[in-house]
Amino acid sequence: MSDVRTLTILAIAVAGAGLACAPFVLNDYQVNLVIEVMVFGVFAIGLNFLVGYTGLVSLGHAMFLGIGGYGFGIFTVLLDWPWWAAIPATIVCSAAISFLIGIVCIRSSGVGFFIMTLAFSELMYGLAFKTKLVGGDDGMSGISRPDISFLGLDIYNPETLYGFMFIAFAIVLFVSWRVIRSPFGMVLVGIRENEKRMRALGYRTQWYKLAVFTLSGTISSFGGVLLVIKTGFMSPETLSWMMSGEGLLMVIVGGAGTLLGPVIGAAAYVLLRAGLTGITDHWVLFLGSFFVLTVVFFRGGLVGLASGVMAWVRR
Amino acid sequence: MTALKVEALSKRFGGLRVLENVTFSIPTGARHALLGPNGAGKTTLINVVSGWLRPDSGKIEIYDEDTTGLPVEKLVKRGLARSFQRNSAIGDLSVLENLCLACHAILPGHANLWRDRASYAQPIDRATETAAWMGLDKVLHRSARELSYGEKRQLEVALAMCSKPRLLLLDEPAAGTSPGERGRLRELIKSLPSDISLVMIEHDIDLVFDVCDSATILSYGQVIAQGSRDDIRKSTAVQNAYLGAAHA
Repeated sequence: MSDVRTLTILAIAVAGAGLACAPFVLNDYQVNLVIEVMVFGVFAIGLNFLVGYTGLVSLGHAMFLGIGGYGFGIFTVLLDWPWWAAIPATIVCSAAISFLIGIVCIRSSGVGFFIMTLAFSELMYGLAFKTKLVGGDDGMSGISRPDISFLGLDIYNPETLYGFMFIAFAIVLFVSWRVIRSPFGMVLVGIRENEKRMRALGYRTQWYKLAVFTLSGTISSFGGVLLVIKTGFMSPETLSWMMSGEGLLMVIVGGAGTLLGPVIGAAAYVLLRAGLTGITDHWVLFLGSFFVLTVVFFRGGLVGLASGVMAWVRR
Repeated sequence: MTALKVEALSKRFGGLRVLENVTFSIPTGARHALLGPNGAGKTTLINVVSGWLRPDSGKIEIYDEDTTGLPVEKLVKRGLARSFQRNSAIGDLSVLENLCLACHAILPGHANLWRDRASYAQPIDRATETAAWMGLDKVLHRSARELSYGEKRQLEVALAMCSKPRLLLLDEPAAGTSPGERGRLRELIKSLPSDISLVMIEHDIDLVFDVCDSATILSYGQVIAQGSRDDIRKSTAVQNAYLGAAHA
């Protein structure tokens, strides 16, 4: 336990310093990749609350990327709200939608939960695909980035966008860290390991599951907001079950049920994909092999591997 | 005052009658045993009383309040706690963490999302106290998985005690333990505060007769005898159904 803690603090310090310096040493393409890691990192952090901490495996989490992305698009493009009002409004709406979807989904567990979340995400996919108002199958384009010219900054400059994303990412990571350390976070682990025991102790586990579903959906939706700020474009494909599956890969490969696991998983996913596409057309094959090997050999994902190495070095 | 009153309780699983017209009551502070051969319906009775199963008919009162059909979580608030036949502690967490989680359930702040859980002194104090009391103070920081089997059973009882129960249901607390471990558990159970009413399922007759002062005997879902320790010992019906003819 203390090994993991030391490792976490060390990793955060190194990664934080590294991330802060990144835009000064990397080229624009590389800065863009790190931004992508942070965006998918936020998405995966949200998913990890359900999958890693509570043991509820969702195969529909990409719908929240869509809810956040389209939400921000609707508020800024269709309703013409300023970005500083649109972001909180999108967060509040995502929380409300997550809560409502959660009410239905948490009634089941295991495969049932898996299927219910998949069904909802397909529903959302269909909705995005068919609704002409948000561009239908063409997707929604022309979503502008937050205008922060009052600070004398141009967000279309990669370094500035990087700074914006870095702050958003750091906030999510901080929130996630607090929740994991809170009594609530411990109850989630209890539910994952033995829900029956938690109920016998007097915990109303259904409320906890609904709360964590809402939290998870809201964080992942915020990832969707960041994604659309980065790309300026939202496609129904973002809500597909394949994206949900990729989210699961990030969480599991990085290390489910750990603070940094999903971020490391997102980094592995984004960087491997970027590296492999440059080398071969069959990059999916190698990406898949990497994921299979990680899951087979490193129980606990890359974070599990790292803390295993730490423990071994200390001995 | 009666701690637990069960009236004409029946429960069926499909065509199988697991409990039929079960009636018994125990006074406050009692040490009561539920006895009977395997499949007699003892665990089902505990499950119905503690809210895991709904009875088909009948009534349950805990400290003179009707609790029939109340869910598990609400019954904990009425002062009922139970242990399980199989160890239910969370293996990855330490003994202290397990006990904190258990103690926090009935204290304020257990759903707090923001505050560091280490800053809550009360659950930690109570957990440490319970651990000392249940003989787990030396293994406080060991993970529950690494405990000896006997210690795991002690932890199982300790977890139930964290809910500060008035009525404690123990489902085979000593199941699978070695004679040495059983002796230790027996002493721990005997040392529970006398105002807690205890209902215990246990197959070890020596332990039962040492700890409990009264008993109810079930066979095929029906009460075949109940009474004080000595009544039960003498009852020929009990000897035939449960203890076997050799004891007669």
